[in-house]
Amino acid sequence: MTDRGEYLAARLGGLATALGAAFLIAWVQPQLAEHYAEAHDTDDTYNLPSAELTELLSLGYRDALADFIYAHVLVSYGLHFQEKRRFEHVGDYLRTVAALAPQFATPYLYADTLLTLQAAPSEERDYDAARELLLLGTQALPYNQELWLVAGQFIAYVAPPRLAAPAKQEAWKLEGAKILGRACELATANRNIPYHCVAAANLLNRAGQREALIQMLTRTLAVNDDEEIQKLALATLGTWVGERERDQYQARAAALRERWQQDLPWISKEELLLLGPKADAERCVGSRSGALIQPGDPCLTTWSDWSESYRAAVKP
Amino acid sequence: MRPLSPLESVALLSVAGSVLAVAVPTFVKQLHASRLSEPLDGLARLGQRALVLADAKPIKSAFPPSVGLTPAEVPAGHSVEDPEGTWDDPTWRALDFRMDRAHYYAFAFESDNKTQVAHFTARALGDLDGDGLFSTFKLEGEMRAGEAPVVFPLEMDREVE
Repeated sequence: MTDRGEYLAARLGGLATALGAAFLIAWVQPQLAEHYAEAHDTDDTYNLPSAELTELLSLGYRDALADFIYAHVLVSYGLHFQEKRRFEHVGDYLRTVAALAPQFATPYLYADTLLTLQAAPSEERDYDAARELLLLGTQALPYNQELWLVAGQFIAYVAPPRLAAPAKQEAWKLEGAKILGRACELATANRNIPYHCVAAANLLNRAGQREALIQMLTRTLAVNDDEEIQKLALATLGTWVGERERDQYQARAAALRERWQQDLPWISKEELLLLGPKADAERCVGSRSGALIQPGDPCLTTWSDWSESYRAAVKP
Repeated sequence: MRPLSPLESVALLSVAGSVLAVAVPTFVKQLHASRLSEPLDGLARLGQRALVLADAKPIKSAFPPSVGLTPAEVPAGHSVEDPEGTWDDPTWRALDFRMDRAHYYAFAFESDNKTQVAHFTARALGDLDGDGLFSTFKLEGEMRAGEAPVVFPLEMDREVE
C-alpha cells in the first residue's frame, strides 16, 4: 500500500471509530439516562461521625473541612429541594460545621433558612434546631450584629406561630425581643436598627417586661448617638414606661453630656466611656477603697461610680 | 507507545462518552442546586425584616411600598453584578436588602396596607438555564389589627430548571 493509501486508511479508520463511538453513545446513553432517572433517593443517611470525632478526623484542617461540609450542605439542600424531599440531616451537618469552625458566621446566618424553608413542610423540631444553632452563633460571635438581628427576628417573629404550645411561643417571643434588644446595642451602619429597637420594645411591652424594657431602651440610648434612634427610643420610653422615667433618663444623659463637654469635648463618646470620668489625681490621692460614694464626689474614676453618685445626688 | 486499535478506541470513547453523558448533567444539576439557597435565603430575610418593620409601625403603613423586579431583567443563565444604585429604592433600603455580590435571581416586593390588615408578597425570579422560563419563589405575610405579624409557607413554581 502506498503512503497515500495508508494515510487515507488511517483517516477513514479514525472517522469510522468516531462514528462508531457516536453510535454507541447514542444507543447506550438514553438507556442509561432512563435507568438513572428511575433511581430516586427516598432516605438520607448521615455520613459523618459525631462532631467530636469529625474534629479529630480533620487532622487540624478544621476550617477547610468546615468549608467543605458547608458547601456540601448547600448543594444537598438544593438537590433535596429539586427532588421535593426533606433534608433530614441538615441540622447535624450545621452543628458539625459549628463545632469545627465556631467563628464561621455564614452557617449560623443561613441556619434558619436551611432548616425551616424546605421542600417538605417544616416541623417544630426544625425551629428548635434553628434556634439552637442561632443561639450557638450568638455565643460564638457576641459582636456580630447581623447574627443577633437574624436570631432575634427568627426567634421573636418567624418561629412562634409555628410552635404548638402557647407558653413556648411567649417564651420565644420574649427571648427574641431580648436578642433584638442586644442587636440594638451593637451599633452599626444598619439604618434599620431603630425599627428593630422599637419592635423589641413592642415585644417586651406586650410581655409585661417593664424592667427589661427600661433596661433595653436606656442601654440603646446610652450606646447610640444616632438622632433617629434617640428620638424613637425616647418616644417609646415616654409612651410605655412613663414621662417621669423618660425625663429622668434625659436629665442623666444631659449630665453626662455636660461632663463630657467639661472634661474632654474633643474625643468621641465611646472614647470618653472607655477612659472614665476625669478625676483630680492630686486631690484624690490615697485609697478610697470601701468608702461610700457621695453625691458629686470629685474622685470618681469609673462611670458606674459616677452613675451611683448621680443617682444619690438627684434622689428625692 | 502502541497506538490504540480501532476497536479499543471505540470502546474507550463509548465508555468515556457514557460517563460524560451522566456526569455532565449531574454536575449541572448540582451547580443549579447549589444556587437555590440564594432565592430562599433572600426571601427568608425579606420576610423577617418585613415582620419587624410591621411590628414597629401602625398597620396602615406596616409594610414598605411595593417595588418592582430588581434588577429589572432576570439574569438569564448567568450571574450579574448590579451597577451602583440598583438597590437604592427606599423599600429595599427600609428592608435592608441588597445583593452585594454577583447573583442569579431578581427580587420584587409588593405590599397592600389597609386599615385592618396589611399584606406583603416577596418574590424571587431566576432563569438558571437561560431558556426564558422563570423559576419563581414566593413568600407572603400579613399583619392583622391587634395581632402579631406572620409569614406563610413558601410557594414555588418551576424551582427545577
